[in-house]
Amino acid sequence: MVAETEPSNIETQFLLDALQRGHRTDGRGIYDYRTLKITGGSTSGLVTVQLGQTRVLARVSCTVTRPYPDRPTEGIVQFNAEMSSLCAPHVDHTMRSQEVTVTRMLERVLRQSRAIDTEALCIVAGHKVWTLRVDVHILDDAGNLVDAAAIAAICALRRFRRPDVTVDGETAVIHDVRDRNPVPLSIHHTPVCVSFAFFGAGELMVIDPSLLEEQARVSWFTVTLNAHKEVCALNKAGGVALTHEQIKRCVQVAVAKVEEINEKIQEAVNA
Amino acid sequence: MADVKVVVPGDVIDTHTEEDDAVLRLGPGLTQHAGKVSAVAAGVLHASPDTNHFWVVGNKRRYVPAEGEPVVGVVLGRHGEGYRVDIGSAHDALLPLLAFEGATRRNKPNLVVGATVYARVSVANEMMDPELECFNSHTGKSEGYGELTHGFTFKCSLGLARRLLSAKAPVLSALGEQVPFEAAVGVNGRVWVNAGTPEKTILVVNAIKNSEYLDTKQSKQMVRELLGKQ
Repeated sequence: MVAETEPSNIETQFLLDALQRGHRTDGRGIYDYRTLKITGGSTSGLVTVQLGQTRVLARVSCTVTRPYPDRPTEGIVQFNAEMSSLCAPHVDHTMRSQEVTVTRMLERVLRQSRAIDTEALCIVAGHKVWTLRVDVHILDDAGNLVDAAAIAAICALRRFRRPDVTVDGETAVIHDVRDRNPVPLSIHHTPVCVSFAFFGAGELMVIDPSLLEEQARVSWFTVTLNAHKEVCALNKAGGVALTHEQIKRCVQVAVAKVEEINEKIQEAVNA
Repeated sequence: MADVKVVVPGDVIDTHTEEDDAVLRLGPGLTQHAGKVSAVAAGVLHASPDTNHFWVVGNKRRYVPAEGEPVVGVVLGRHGEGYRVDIGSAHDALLPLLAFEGATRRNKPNLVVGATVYARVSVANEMMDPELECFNSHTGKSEGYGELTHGFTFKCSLGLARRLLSAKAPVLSALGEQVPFEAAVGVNGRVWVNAGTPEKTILVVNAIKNSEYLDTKQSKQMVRELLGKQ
């Protein structure tokens, strides 16, 4: 089997029957997240996140480059998500749509929400800025890559240490990490994604969908919040229409979940 | 416990014996090249010194079809005189329309796209796409093969699937004492379970998934705990 196949009729029918009775196929409750485990790596800026069976690795690195001409005082942040055949049997180098979805979500969640202070990445205005690169490698796809990738990316950014810089007019000296301790990035807030999947005619909802639930869903919605209960982004790309009340309920559930996830992130970042 | 030897592809195996003209039998996972025996699969090396038989038992999730094995497949479409079925192997399998019990030119089965079948691999080699049959071609009886309806299917590792089939899995008997259910295990790492209600089916499915690394006593304990929560 090379192409991704739809789930079998038995699986989709069973999923709907069980959901109508309030059960999920892996025994979770409707509002239960899978076990979240965040591990830092040997270098700063390397984080592995395990959400149930979904595994994602994020790596942050930096180089010095010229800034964009229209933004001379801002650094650059680039996001890149990659899937290899390691994570699922149907994935090969031509399957790009999942990677694009994850990359776009990371850009919205981390760059457009101004979580990273790009002005603090400026070294010499107009000439030298830091370019940060956030590479997310998807090691195992068991559903809900977006949430796992977002947690991995923000943890990696908060753990990352860039080399210290001394600026003297137009010249800048970038200190080796052995001479001066590397410094953390300036992160304004920690956005966290909470994803929901809908079934039937849109009336059945689950949080943190598993792989089967993702394949069988009719609609998908992601709420991005930070620890201050500010909504950073709402993302709904296609699918069955949702009502006003459903959106509000999702946001309320997300607020509760973000607190728990944030605790784990704080532990991992301060470790 | 005896010394467990774990090998990875590339490891050279020492197969030296006292008898000089003994025949060396290499099972799955081993190959001979330039007079040396090396492993091509990752796993535990097993040896039977009496018959001079060596093989590697590994666990993975990607299935390679072999003739005679029972598999659980999903129908992808109808292709001329047969169905194209996904069994998790690199190539989709072909299930001829007449490979069912009581099927004739006038009385053909009617499987829809997405249907689940329990079938036997009838043809499997490197040069052709695998082929399946839903009956015993010698007796003409279905013998349990055919379409599976209701219930739920899930994926597991190939090692767990083989253990479930070989009746060495204590989890199935521990579950069967408390919950009536039926199951069809495919060596391609897919298992179908039907326990009547969705709640019971989910329980059985999760118990089997949890039992991968547990021994007999732990499996029984796990089943007791799962049923106790009900």
